[in-house]
Amino acid sequence: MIGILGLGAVGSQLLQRLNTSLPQIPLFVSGPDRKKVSHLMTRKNSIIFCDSNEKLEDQNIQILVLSCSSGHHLQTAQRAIKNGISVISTSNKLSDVVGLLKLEDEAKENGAVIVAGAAFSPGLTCALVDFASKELDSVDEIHVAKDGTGGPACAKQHHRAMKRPSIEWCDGQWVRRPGGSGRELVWFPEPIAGADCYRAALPDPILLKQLFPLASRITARVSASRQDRFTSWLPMLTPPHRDGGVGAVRVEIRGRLENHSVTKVIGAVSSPSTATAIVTEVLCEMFVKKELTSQTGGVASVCDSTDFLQKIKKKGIRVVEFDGIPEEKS
Amino acid sequence: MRQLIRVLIALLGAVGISIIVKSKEAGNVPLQSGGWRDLETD
Repeated sequence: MIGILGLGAVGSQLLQRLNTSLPQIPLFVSGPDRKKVSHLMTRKNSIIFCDSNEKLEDQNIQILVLSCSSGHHLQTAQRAIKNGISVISTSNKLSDVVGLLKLEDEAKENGAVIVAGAAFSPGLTCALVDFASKELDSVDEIHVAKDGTGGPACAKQHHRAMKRPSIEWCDGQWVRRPGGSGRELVWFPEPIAGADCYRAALPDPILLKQLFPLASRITARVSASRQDRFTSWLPMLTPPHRDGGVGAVRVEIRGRLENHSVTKVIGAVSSPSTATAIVTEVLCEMFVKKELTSQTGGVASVCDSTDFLQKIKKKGIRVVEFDGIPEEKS
Repeated sequence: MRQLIRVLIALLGAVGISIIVKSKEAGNVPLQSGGWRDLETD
């Protein structure tokens, strides 16, 4: 059985996707808003609904997808792992990701898999970085950037991340810098194109450091408007949107190939909530087929990134590479 | 009365600044990026 905790923008899409992609697996769903579940769901008999997560241990769940608001993932994951339930967390909150990685020993004892930061960024970005690094002899620098937000919980987390210090790997040590600093014009794939990106409390460097311990610099930035920066120290003044629409991620990897410096730039375009639902769906499919390799880590730590990206592309996420040659207009 | 005028001037100033900031934001990406092609994963 697959459990889904949280029926927000990601959880409701994931439920619909798993309903069709894994029809033989029963689903356990917990979330306050049951109205979000489509009336067109074909196999309602095999979907068990629960209003709170009290009954988590009583169910025969093998893998639990945490798609609830960031900040609530760690405690639930601890409970699940104690009962031998594997966990996929979509949280992009720094403390959630760090806490989940610290549960590695407990997960090993209980035979559970933990996938931390399984979202658009981190998540898909980790797989993109790992894929690009396969063409290089060594990786020196990794720079990740993200544009766009998913549902209301994601928008709130974006707002919180902007006011908190970022954490970056710089020449062999972790460096904290103020959130909202370090403006950089990042060129995303179309239709996003150029956007100013800033430092924020993002967990990507923590997950990528696991994969690339010899890299000298690992940074992450997020796009923000002037209004986002000016109001980041205040509570959110307007209620967040239901879904932020199309977003993009871009990873830049600098390394060496046959003693030459090489830079690779890869990106992806999708709605962040849909991309996160697809990432978690693919991970669930891989778990069911026993294709998840490692025990605890980010997306690229637990599966083969090439295989993962092939599956992601088939489900509709546009993955692109920057070659610097503009298309000729006829 | 003088206080009221001050408040009105402050409000007008805030509205003016936000209009200027918004108009600058709207026009800061006039270029097209290009140069992206589908990633081969096979």
